[in-house]
Amino acid sequence: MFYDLNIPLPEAAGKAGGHVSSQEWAQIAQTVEQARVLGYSVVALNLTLQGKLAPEHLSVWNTTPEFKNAQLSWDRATGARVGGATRSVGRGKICVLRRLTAVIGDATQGHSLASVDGAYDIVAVQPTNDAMLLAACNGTWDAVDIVALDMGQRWNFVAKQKVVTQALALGVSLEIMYQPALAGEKTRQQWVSNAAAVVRATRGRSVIWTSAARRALDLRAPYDIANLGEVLQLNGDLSKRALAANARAALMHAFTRSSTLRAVIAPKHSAADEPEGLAKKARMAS
Amino acid sequence: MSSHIPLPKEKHNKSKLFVTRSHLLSKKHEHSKLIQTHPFNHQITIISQSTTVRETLAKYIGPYYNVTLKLSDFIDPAFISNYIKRNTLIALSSNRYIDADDVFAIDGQKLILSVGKDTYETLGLVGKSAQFPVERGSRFVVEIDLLACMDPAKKYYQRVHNRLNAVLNEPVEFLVGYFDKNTGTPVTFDIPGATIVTPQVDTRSVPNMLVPNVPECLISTNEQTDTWTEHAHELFEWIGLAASCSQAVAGTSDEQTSAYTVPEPTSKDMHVVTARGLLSATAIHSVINELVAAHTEFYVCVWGFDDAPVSWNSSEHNFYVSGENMYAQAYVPHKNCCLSFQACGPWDAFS
Repeated sequence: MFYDLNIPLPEAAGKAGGHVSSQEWAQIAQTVEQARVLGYSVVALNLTLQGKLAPEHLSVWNTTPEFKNAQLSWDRATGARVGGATRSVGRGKICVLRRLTAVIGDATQGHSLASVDGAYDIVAVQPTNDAMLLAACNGTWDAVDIVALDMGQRWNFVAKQKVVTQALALGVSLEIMYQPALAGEKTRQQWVSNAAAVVRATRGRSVIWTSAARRALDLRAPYDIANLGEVLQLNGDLSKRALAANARAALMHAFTRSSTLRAVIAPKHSAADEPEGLAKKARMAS
Repeated sequence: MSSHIPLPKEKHNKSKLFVTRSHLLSKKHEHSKLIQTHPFNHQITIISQSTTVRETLAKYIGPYYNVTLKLSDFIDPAFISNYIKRNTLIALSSNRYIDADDVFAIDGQKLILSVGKDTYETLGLVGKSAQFPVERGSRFVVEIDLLACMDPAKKYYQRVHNRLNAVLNEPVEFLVGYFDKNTGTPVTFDIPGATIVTPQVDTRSVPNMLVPNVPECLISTNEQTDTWTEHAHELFEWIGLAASCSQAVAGTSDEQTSAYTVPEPTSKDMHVVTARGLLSATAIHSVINELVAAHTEFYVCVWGFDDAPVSWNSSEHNFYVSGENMYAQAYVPHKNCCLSFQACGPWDAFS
């Protein structure tokens, strides 16, 4: 299966009191449908927020429309997460997850991520300086699955191999988003430099490719991304792994962190609580 | 990029081309084994001067079927005794990609399940870790021998039946070919719901096609000198261009746009016949035997399915950035010689 764990919601949605208009949802739905056509099986809608996480940030999802040929990982009515670790859906369908990316400039903002626990399928942090990168990679904050770095901007820090290796040892993945590679000339130059730095630091391991596509036209097929990886000396095998196995590993990391007890026990809803089980119960009682 | 630390070298990243010279009267029959051990074929192209190739193809290549079945239907003892044991049944799940989805196939004897990690961990059947992708543990292959182990009284059958019904219980679309064991001609497959599909056959006549003389060094020796390798490459290149009826071999290309020249060309009226569909290896072999008996030079290209789980000799096959598993053969009957070219993609255990 191919994964795209970053289809961003509009930037305004990440601000306090932010919401997503119906037009914006329609564009997101179109992007998700295009991802399905291109061969992706799992996508994640990404809410990026600056500063501390507050409960009202979850209200953004209350207006989620119905996506065609898609299975959501949350109940549209209640907002509660449904489903287990594995995201296999029927043929011709796509699984849609929820992701949170917190842009962290201050260490205290990272600790608020623990309150997210269970509400989002994946949690990512985007550090803005050396100290935050180190904190994201060395396990200071428990609730981190992905370290996202802005690929289109010049960083004011260096992604050192020593620091990044700590993240890889904890099972945290590093993200390379390819949307800046499709932008203007200067952004492309910066993207090549940044992405190559990530590949150098990780040696191609635990890297995940994501689109950060704001519209359907910004998406690319998995094999095109595998070819794009050759520019960064990520061979075809590592690129395909970054789209498939590594992304799955990031999802499993998130599931293990949020839904299991010490990675040993995972609660499973009984059949009696599922809709078919409840109907059967009612029939037997009558 | 300065101070660049090179990434680990990729082990399986090159496609390979195997070139074999075999004698038509040899007991080893290497040219025949190559054909008969390649079960999943979707296209054949024959380039020949003969005008009867289409009729020869029509004699052996026939319809196949689109059918939607559950996997547990294939292990049903009635199905096995009525179909698997009587003739050759080839089946491949359609619209499924070997590197993204779970792919299922029958190669005449075994039910092959090439599944992802999530499916394998819930399936509960013993398989082995697939060789491709290179990172072990992301894909698994489960093989169920339909001819040996499917006794309903035995625990193994009950286990397989239970697990297939519990986990892989959704109907799957298959391309099914049902062929006579000896000749490869199609046999009626009367499963309810099966839709018959006729292979598409196209014929193109290319007058004055530039055909190379097969170099003597390729026919007489197996010694791989630089010259031998160069001649083999040139012949393989020509076969590919002829199969696609390229202007470069038809003699009509513009010198400004194509620098290709046919080595030692002879002008001949050739016919290019292409059949597409699910093609039986035995049928392909029968067609070629008839053409060899006619004693004219001819060239064959056969393409395998990119998403087939196995290629030659049940070798594991996968899709890297291409899933090629094709072969081309040049027959020179008056010298009892056959040159075979097997092209394997990077993720093919045969290579």
